[in-house]
Amino acid sequence: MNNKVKHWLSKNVVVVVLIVLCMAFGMANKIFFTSKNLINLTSQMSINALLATGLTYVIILGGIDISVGSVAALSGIVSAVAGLQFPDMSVFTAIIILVMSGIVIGGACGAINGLMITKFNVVPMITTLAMMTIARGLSYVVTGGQPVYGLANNFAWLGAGRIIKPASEPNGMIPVLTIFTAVIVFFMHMLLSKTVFGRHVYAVGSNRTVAHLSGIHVNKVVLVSYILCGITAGLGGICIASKLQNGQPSAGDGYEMYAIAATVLGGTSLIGGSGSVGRAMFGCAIIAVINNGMNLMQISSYWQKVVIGSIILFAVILDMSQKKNTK
Amino acid sequence: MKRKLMGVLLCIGLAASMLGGCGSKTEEAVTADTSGKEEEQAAAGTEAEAADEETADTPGGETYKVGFIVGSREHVFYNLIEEAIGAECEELGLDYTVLDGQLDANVMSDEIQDLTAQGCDAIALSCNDAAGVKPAIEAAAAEGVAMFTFDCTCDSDKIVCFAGTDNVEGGRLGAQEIIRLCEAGDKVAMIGYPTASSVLDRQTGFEEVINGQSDITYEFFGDYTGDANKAQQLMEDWLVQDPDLAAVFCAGDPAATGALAAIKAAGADTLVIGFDGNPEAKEAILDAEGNGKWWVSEISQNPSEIGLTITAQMYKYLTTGSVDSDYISIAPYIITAENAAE
Repeated sequence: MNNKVKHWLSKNVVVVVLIVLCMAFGMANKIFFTSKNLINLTSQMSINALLATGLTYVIILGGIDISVGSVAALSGIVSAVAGLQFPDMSVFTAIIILVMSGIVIGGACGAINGLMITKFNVVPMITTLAMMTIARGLSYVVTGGQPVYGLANNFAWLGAGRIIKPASEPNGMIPVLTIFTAVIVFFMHMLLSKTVFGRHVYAVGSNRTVAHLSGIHVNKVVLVSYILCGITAGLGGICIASKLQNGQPSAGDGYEMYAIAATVLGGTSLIGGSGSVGRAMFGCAIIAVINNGMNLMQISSYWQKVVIGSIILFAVILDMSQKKNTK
Repeated sequence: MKRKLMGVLLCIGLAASMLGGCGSKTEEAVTADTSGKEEEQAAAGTEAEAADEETADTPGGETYKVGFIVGSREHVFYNLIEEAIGAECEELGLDYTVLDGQLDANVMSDEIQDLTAQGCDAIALSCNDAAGVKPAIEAAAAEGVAMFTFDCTCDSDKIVCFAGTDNVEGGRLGAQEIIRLCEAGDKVAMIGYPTASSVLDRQTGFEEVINGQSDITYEFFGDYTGDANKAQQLMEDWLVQDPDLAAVFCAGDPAATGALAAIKAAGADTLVIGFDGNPEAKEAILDAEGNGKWWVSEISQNPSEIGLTITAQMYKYLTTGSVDSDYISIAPYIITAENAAE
């Protein structure tokens, strides 16, 4: 085979896996490639995409954040409780409430994680494990274990609304959630790949000592990254709350694992130093395609877990062997 | 050094705040304990009259000690059961402790051991993972503790009595509601959670009735794993395949919440029949102009009755040595717009 093609293939294993999966599901079920299903897919991968976006920063730093699922739940709950105060809210008010809740709660949780790690040198796994338990606990404390319900319909616009309404689609075509996620992901991708701060994230992830010696304020980079990770998790959480039009204290349970899986599938190394937000989106797409395709084919959710796990292993093994070859 | 000290202090603070979170639980156990001890002292002081009194005293003058393990303190359903247990124990003068099983067989097994070690005369628990807790139940029974189950049971002959919702019947009621609401030729679906044995029972009952119905097609089944967002995705995918899906039976209120969100977003007319009887279900059903257009019916459990029944049966067993029946099913009932406000 041509060397160039071989090189491209090995560099883009995740894209190849995604295409193969889509072809397989498309052949097995004729509904898979309908525009409606493909559009649904984009909104179904949105929440995981938001969580994975921030996680990419943290994982590039060589850290980890397993609190994202719980932080998402807490932000969602807070936005729902805040939303209850405005029974006649407009779409604009709803978005302000949702986005502010996500940024404030997510940012605060991320800041605590970051401070613990930079000021007190607590291992990221332990810090975020504690945050995972605390945020989940607080979600139950705030709600007393019950979902927060009775929110205005406009509250659901961000998560469940659709725009562009041709006559054939009275409910709209493009999910607002997809656009919202795309904007955030694009911003986070640019911040990482095109700015000095982004370069610093890679530098600190590759070699902390060298980064420090070259004058990078390492602790600041770490702190900001954890805050960003918290914020994207918070935004993911408010999207769940908006989509379901209520706050579920159990929301996002176990989502950290899917987000980490998506990031790793996207080629971000758990050792740190390399990775990209854009590529993590391919990881999210793979997971969403498997879930969606298997739902369409009526395959038991137990098998979905087995298949997702196997594909992660497969992709990472391919990725590792490719890295070995380049060395 | 300073930094280390700060770290230690912060850790202590964190630990303290976490303990604070569990405060209500500990306090509850303690108050229950002390009230028991006071009674004990009172009973010891007036041993002669003790036998005539209507308290749960053993012939030796001691108060009966009973333990409960609820499936999870994070579910409204179990919170309501726990409330009823507390009220009934106070009423009967039982010295009681309630623990949180966290829906984890391992945690529950440890708690059974702890309660046995504390000298409980009887223990009642919800066996959310029946196979997982069976060894612990049998070990406790071997030490002479009377074992009871509520909500979910396990197939051990050591269990004196079980009280819980007849979930198979609940599933049948769900199917009957679908038959009442649908027309011939309609297609229907169910969102379940087969890992939880009580929800699996609902599925069994539902499928038994719906599969016997020749004019209604049972098109889809999906597992929402207790996650409302997952239920939303399942429903969204089904509506792409069949936009005319007539009704969906959701074997839990979070599933119904998720399904409702997907149906509204897709602009479909699918009807939702929920299960649990939680407040959000009643509110949705009553909202005739809004959510009530889709969420029309609910199969409700009766948690207070479950808590009350199991406590009363434990008391009866400890005082008389027998129970009414070894399997008491508490009938679920249907909630619609007519009776939701009650």
